[in-house]
Amino acid sequence: MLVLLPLLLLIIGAYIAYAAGRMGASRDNKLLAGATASVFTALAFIIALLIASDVWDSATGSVEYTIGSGLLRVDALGIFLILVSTFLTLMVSIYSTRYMRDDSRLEHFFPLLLLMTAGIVGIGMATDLFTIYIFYELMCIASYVLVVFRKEKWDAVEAGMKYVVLSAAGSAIALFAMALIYGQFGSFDIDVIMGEAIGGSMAMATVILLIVGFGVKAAIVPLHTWLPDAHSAAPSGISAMLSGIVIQTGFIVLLKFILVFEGVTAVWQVLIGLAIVTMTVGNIMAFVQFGSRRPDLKRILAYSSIAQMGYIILGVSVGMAYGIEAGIRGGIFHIMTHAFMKGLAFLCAGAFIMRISTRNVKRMQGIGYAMPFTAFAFVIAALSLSGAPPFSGFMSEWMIFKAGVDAVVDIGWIGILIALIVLINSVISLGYYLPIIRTFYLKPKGRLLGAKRAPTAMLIPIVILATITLILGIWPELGLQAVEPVVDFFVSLGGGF
Amino acid sequence: MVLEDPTQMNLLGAALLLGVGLFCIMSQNNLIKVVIGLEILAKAAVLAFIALGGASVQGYVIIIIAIEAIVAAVALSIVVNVWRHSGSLDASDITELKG
Repeated sequence: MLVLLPLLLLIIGAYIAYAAGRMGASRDNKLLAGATASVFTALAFIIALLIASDVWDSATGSVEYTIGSGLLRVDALGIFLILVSTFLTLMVSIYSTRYMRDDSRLEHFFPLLLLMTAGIVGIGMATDLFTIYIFYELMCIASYVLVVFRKEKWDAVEAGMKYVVLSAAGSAIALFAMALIYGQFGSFDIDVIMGEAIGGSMAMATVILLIVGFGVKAAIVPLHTWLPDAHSAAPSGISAMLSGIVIQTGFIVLLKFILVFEGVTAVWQVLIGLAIVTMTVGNIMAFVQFGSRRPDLKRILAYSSIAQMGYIILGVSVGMAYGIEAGIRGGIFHIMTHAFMKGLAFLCAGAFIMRISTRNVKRMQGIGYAMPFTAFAFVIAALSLSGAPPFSGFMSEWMIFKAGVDAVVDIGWIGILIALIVLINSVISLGYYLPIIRTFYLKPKGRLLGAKRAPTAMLIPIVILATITLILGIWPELGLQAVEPVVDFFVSLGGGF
Repeated sequence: MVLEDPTQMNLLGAALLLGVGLFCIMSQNNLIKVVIGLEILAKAAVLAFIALGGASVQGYVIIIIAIEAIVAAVALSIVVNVWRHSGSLDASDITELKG
């Protein structure tokens, strides 16, 4: 029963947050919906922590729960996803309570946020490809609505339109691939189809359709075009969720599907190629955006998310292709560190935007003096994102770099090339993050209108995430505790080992 | 001969429908037609399910149709908002943001 609780709490929480939001709206209490959502997410996170120790200690590496004929199972990857997503949602929920205070329709915002997280948690628990698909759609549909939440703004509507068309087309293509999977195995149960050795042209076609379908969500270049628009137009808390965990969940879903096809080993090489393109294009686009006439802080962060997705995919793919544990460890750990540091960066950006009503980096000159805490937290996030020690991003990017070096045994100079590309990308990202930091601490041009300390309710999650980003850099074992079982899980699956 | 096998034939039809749907999304300028394209894509997937699974996939197919209806509703509601802002349904107007 305990296993089911995080999912149940989030779904029930969605209904109660709606009721609380309606009650709050009629009594002019704008905090009620957010407070309810935060309480339920906090409970879900605490229970996830309890389950986590069970999962890590159990001999089978998973905890199961049966409903009727359906089986839910939380394995190492599942609990990792649940822990990261509920924690990030808790931060975003506390933040949005204040950030969204001036918006109407909060009774829709918080339930949708909880449902989106419920989708991610459900993906972590599913043992059946079709169940994964249902929870995936739950996550997607909630995110469509959340991107367009400020529907009175044109950029949100435009971004939402692009997002829904691309993402729904991707889902339909993935669904077509699922039909092919059913045709080959006659079942969607992962336990049943995992052992089946297959190959051939049908399997190849399925894998290609899966990469195209779920690749849209995972922002694999050239299917990334919706991301910069959607992530910059969404409310900042939602940007943090989208960049922090939703696109990574897209990749994890892709992984869960691909792992079924043990016979198609070439898929990892394809993913390595795509990952290199993804990270390079993402970083260059972010750099170009920074150099443009009106550099948009949230767009830069969004492009940077594409690049970071590249790191994650590269790490996991190199690990699976050549049996390098450091790669998988780095990729999975990077999902965790990226969720916290990119979440932090977007939350800080939201605080700036709230105070000075512009996303233009050039007009944020000197904001470091007016909003010291938020600006300093942004500095931590930016340095961590570009892989500077001693922050958490350095630890995970270092592992991915090391995976490239380790791969030299198998693929010779290409391994060195991969490691070099990771290094160069890290330098490019410093190339746009450092000037942003410099702009923040330049002498203010005139007075920064409205710039003052961010509200306390927004500072709390910012400070917590900044602390975690710092702690995971100095003491990565704390995070690796959740990552290590996932690595073991992948190793046990075989791959190139 | 491929066409004598009903499974292969249905699968071929589903693949064609997938192509029609993708073409519809990419070529049409009217946003309503783009949403229709999305629905054609989903129906291609449903046809593929039926071609390969026969009667055993009924449950899956009904759930897929329900999910696609929700996606279509959300997509259409965004189309309504596009119309409210710009007064047109032309996809070529949606160019302010450069993804």
